[in-house]
Amino acid sequence: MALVARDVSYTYAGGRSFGVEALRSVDLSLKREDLVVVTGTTGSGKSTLLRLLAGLLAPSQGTVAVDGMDPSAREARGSVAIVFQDPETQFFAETLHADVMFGPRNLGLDYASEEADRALRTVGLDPDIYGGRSPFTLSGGEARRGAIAGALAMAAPYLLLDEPTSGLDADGRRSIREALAAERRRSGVLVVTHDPMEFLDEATAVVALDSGAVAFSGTPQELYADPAPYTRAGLELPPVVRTQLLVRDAGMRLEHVVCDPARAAESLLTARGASS
Amino acid sequence: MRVPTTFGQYVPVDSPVHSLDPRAKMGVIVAFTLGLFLVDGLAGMSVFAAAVGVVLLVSRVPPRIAFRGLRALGLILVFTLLAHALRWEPATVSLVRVGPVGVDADGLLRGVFFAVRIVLLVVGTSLLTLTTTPVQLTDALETLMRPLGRIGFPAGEVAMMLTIALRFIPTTAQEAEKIIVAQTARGARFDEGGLVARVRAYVPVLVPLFVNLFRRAEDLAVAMDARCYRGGRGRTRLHISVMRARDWAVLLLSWAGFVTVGILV
Repeated sequence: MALVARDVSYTYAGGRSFGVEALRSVDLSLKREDLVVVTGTTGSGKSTLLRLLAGLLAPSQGTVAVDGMDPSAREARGSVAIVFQDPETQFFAETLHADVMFGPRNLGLDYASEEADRALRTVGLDPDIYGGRSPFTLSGGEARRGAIAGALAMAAPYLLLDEPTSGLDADGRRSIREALAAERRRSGVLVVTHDPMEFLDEATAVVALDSGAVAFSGTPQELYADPAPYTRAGLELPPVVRTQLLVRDAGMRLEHVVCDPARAAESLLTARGASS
Repeated sequence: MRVPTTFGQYVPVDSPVHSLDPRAKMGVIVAFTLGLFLVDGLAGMSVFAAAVGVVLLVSRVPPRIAFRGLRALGLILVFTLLAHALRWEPATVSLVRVGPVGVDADGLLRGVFFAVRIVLLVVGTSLLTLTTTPVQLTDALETLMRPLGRIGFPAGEVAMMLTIALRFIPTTAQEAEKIIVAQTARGARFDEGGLVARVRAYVPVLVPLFVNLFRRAEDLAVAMDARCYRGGRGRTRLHISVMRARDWAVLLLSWAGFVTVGILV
């Protein structure tokens, strides 16, 4: 049971002189309780991959399957929830609760209202306070969380998010990180992001794309062990990770390399204590 | 689901049609339209169809893109055909008859004639925007409208409005498509149910689309103001286009050809 892409390629305007190859032979697997981080430079094919996984585009080559089904097939409806970039620009209902309920109601869920309440709580918005408010009056961070709640409410086994934390302040990013950590208990979560630092400590896998091809695929610890393919793809590891790698390369033995500054400091202090 | 838009979507390929001066192309379109309305037989219409075919071929615009604009006109074409072909008077019916309604051969031919005229008009004029960038188009309009400035007509402002309007047609279409995809991902269905249900299904698309458009218009106005836009007066141009001999030749030949065919055939 997984959302699987096998040898997937995609070309925009395929067969025409101005066609653009966006993805080339990409393999990816997302299981429930996984957190997969897909990263890459602008134009590397991240958003195209997301659309293929959600069944919104059909691959030019290769296959995408969600629990063995074609994600665009009718029977797969509701299996994959997706949150696009700037999802708050898609609000339309009079109240946030009604907007969040849109997805589960379309799927015919009897408990749409309860799912909407649950989703709002997951993203840290109290349904009693925010549910009755117009989504157009929310602050940037609240609106983003509300829009993500719209996808969570569909209770899909696989959740895909495109740049969920872009443009948010530290509080907003933390809220979304916590919401996704909670959601992982029931869904596989795939995050596409330019800035993977938020998610690397929790990630089960990292996929880096370079000009439509996979430049790196593995766990975060495998990435830290040999970051060369990742950096060759034009990507930079977070400064806190780079610092730890420099210390490690200088000969100090580190148990783990992490993104969280507090845990990184602890790890460095422990290593220094052991070496002195 | 795609938003069917052809108008304003420039196809970036290198061709003799693309390199023609936009003013010449606009002049050709006027001659083409005039001739198309003057012509009164299928023989004359076939000349115009051949002209569109040749220009399409030379322009290297994929036919699929050129004909995409017709999708939205399907109902109008069917209506045009039926309105001319169907007859109530039994005496004039010569082909098929169902109860009091019959299909008349002359009417059918007339229906085909008018439907073909609509198709050629749409495809022919689409070729202008498919081979000319919005900026080239509005620059040409501004040049053509400039003499009107002497009687107080705000040619620069009108050209800027047209530039912005044309520039934002594809952006708005992409935005609509993005919202449709996002709402589809949330289980919305736009192709199910009766007419009322389908119209209502578009509320979750139209509300955010208009909200975003107004926001974008506001942002654009502020950005233009911040970059000291004060209207068209005194603005100069980086690229000044000049009508070459080739442009004049195409323009004059098309006027002579289309109008002659329109009057004679």
